[in-house]
Amino acid sequence: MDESNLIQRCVSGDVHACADLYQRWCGPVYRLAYAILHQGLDAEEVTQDVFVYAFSRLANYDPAKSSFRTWLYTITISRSRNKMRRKWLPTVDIETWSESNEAGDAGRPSEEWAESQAERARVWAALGQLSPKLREAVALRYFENLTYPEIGQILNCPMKTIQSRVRLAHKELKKLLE
Amino acid sequence: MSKHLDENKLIDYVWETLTAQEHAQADAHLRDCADCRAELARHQAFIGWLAATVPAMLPTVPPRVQTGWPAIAARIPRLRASPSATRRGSSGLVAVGLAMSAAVLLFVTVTVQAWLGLGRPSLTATAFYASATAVASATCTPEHPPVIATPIAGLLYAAPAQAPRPLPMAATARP
Repeated sequence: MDESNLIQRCVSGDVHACADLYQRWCGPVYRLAYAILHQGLDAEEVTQDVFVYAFSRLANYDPAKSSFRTWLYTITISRSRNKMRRKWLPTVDIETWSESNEAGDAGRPSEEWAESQAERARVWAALGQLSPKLREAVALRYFENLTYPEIGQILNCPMKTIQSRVRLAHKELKKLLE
Repeated sequence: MSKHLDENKLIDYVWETLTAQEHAQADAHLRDCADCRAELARHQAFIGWLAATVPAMLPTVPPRVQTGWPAIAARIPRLRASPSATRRGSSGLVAVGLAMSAAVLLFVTVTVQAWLGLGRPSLTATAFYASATAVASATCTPEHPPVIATPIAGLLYAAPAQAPRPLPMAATARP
């Protein structure tokens, strides 16, 4: 179904349309939140908050001003920032924690797998060292492959600022990873 | 040969954020400068590597998120009031109705009890009392309570301590 039609139905109170719209966008929203927060449980909470907020204010969404993706990602960035600001203790997912502790018992992983995991861990750690603003820019550019005008609209910044942030993030990551 | 392209220019070149004029100038320089071409190739390789690695690092969406719609809908008042939500909430309405009925019944019971305790009959109270005990009769008064016929009526009715007197038939029977 066409997205604008789906949104219209959501605004008129069609619960099934809301569920469809959620199914369509929960993955991208979760991944963006995860890319910024680097933590699964926090990303889950933010995803839920984003959709509660979005569906409560869907009538305010103006398709003439931005695409639905841009509008939703703006909320995601805002909620992720709030989450980071309020966070003073790291969240640990007990399942992930127990899995990582039991990994040694599950058998010896292949060398290639171990290498790719190590490389991923290195990149992930480097991304984690970026400032939140640079991380947001990288997430939107690398993960979501958005254009600079789109990123500018989401982060409410001039395009030149976004270009500068992406460039700065590129330089920092290169320094950290090479 | 012109001055080497600085790192910012090379990154912007890779990310295609140079203006048309800047891009043309950079192209002109790159045609003649092997060092800058090599540096550009390193940046391009790095971006290519990141573009391939970083998105793959994101986890799959957990089932809790994929099946999380009901929890979200429950937090949105506008959707809670929708017809499908109302169906889910019908048991709550029944509970409220039952609670209200119980409250009314309790109020009536207490009122009747109070009336009996005070010993001041009224026609309305007498009629209620009679119907509640299912043994209503024209002669029913607080001084001559009806026979308790049901356990519920027994709960509602507090019988006076003295034994019931015989009905004043003599007053009505004429010789």
